[in-house]
Amino acid sequence: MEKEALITAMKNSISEVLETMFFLPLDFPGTHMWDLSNLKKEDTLVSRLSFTGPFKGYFIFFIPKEPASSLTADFLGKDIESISRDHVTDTVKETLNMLAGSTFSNYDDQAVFNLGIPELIDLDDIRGDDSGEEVLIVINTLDNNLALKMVKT
Amino acid sequence: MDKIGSLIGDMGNMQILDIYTCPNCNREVKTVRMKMIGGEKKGQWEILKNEWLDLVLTDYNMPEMNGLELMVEMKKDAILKTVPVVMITTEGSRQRVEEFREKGAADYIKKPFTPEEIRQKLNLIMGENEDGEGSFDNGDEELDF
Repeated sequence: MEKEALITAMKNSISEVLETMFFLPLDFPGTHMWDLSNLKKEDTLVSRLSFTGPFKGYFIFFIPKEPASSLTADFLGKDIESISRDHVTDTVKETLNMLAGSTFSNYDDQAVFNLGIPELIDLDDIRGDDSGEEVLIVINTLDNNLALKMVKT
Repeated sequence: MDKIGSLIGDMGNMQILDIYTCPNCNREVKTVRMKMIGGEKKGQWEILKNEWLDLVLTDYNMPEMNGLELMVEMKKDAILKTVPVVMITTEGSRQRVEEFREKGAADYIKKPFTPEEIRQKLNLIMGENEDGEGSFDNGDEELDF
């Protein structure tokens, strides 16, 4: 796993997905803007997706609930008042699915990676999980910080 | 094309694409029935068996049965094997795309995609009338995804 190439692939993927599907302006402020211990589980949605291929591991996508609802409303073309919890969680999972797939096609379009099914997990489940080499990308958009992390296991 | 509908309408069960009409198609194909298939295997087959579809858009990455497996099953059915299948995938590896084609996909769409990309694919697969001219061209105002 070439870390620099992966960072570039992840950033390109984030730009493609969030700008194409959600028209979100974004930048990458750096990992100093991120502190997992400051996140509150009641305010944050966390989705995880495992993968296998030339190397294996998982992605984790962090998004605060408030922008997740706005993003879902835009995605579905609905008023935010009509958005259900299932709509939001499905959209967050689908977003991670797109981020992961796009990362790999940007990283190496000759390689075949098999993506798992994205799931919503509890923030507490990943605290203290430093089981492998990881890449963290912090995303700033709409006055919120989101993050995409890949962990190689 | 009068309406594509909500492409990402109800993601939980992936009851996604509404029926839409195609005014410039020939009479036999005046109404194009199209669904995006996703969710559980049982639900997929209920849609396929109970509704007459002209085109299936299916996600590749699904629980229980992935889009490729679904298409292979469709190809075993005397009626369903004639329905064009478009694979929707986040995975852009050349090997996988080749596999889609080898196993009979009419085309594939890589996520994330724009409404225009969907329109172009539909034009390629179904949008020609008897004169061989494209049929789907109504602007984006009807698209609500």
